[in-house]
Amino acid sequence: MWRNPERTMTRLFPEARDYRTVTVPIPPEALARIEKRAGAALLPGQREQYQYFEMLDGDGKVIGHTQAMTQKGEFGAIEFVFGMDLQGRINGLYIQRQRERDKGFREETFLTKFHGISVADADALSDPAGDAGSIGTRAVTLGVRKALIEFDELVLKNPARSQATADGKK
Amino acid sequence: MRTARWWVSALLFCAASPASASLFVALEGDARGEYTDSDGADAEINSIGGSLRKVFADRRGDRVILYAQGEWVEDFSEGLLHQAYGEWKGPMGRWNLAAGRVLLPWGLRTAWSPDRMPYGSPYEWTRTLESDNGALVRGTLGIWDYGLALTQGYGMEDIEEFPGPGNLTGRLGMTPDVEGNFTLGLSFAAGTAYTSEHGHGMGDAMEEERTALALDCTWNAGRGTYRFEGGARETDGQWHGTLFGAADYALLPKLTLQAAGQVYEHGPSHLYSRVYGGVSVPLPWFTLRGGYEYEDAEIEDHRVVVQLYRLFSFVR
Repeated sequence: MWRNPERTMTRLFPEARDYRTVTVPIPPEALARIEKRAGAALLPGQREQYQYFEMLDGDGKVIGHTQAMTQKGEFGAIEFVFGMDLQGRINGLYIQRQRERDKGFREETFLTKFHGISVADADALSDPAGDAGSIGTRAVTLGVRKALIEFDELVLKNPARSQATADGKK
Repeated sequence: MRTARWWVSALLFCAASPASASLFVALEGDARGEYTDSDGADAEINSIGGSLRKVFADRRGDRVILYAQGEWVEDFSEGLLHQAYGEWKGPMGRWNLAAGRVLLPWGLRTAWSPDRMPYGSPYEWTRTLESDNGALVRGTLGIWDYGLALTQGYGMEDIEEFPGPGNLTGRLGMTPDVEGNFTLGLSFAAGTAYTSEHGHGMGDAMEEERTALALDCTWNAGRGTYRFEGGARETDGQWHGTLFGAADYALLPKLTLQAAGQVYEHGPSHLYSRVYGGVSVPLPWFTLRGGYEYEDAEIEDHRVVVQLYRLFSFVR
């Protein structure tokens, strides 16, 4: 569980005045599409529901989205959080909880390589660390890819959901 | 008790409502087998419990949170309602106001529970209240977080009268980095508390007028997590100091070493102490924990414990 979301959300969206938790069910056919595009199965506990946060300004307009993800590392779960602007581009990524031997995936030089990557780039997203990558860098990359694809399939391609987000922008 | 039942009924009604909201459900089970010098061999379903958390939002964001957490303990011999409250969430979590049975903002408990650990809780000997009925204000401001609770003082015991003897509990915490690898907190409590060494109504609750202070620290460093809490409580003009420490270290991908220890000043020249060493291994369906604990309190005791633990959570 993400114990203190506001602390990280404020870093990602300093202008946000509040946030709204959104939970979307994952239909079986959408799950199949997501896993095919991601090239990996979603983890147990992530297969039925997809959750994200709408970041709101003082008038309740959506100014971006935050996603909290968990992916398997070598020594257990790696939890991380990233924000996306309204164009679906990543504007920040923070590791929240991990206990990996490798420290490279926690360094800013690695994490900033995700900045600017958008939903449209998700399918082709590969480990920015390349051949020098580790279990940690690959786990973060896979987690980001899954999350972007889920957002695409369950929010952007869902007329009701994307309309709700658009309504918030008005 | 009627107050608690009212809260649970209200929460369950709201949790089942069709209003647009997110429902978070967690279920957990804890089975243990142990051998002690004093009592011999024993095995039990130590706990079956769970929690419900429902978040309601308006157009300006998440606004109302309903939360309930309970369990049956010791082979279903007793049901415990740890928390049952409604919370009004302020903007960006800067302030949140909860009413009902709330978790008291105290020490390590703010972000961690020793109840599911195979070693003795640091709060048994200190008779620290876990939760109580009343109002709680808490929030996050930059690197700071705070909590202040004004409660009845009955803890999870039956409510004898309203408003009760009264208890004030508070904690000021600090988390300097965004990863949350290091937290530091200062807690205080003043008032009258009804509490047992077990922390719930097992017939040995004591009314105690007290003042208490504690300093807690959690440090995630590499493959290790280290927890510390030290403090003291004053009752009947006498201070009782305590020190607690616990460490988890992932030695291998599927093998975590666990160690814990506590010293408690029971009397002017009488120290209680205990120390635990063990391992934690994730299995396909459970986490297996086991170890040895030595205790020197009323009597000297040796304890070997094996625990099977499972936490299952989902969102609706």
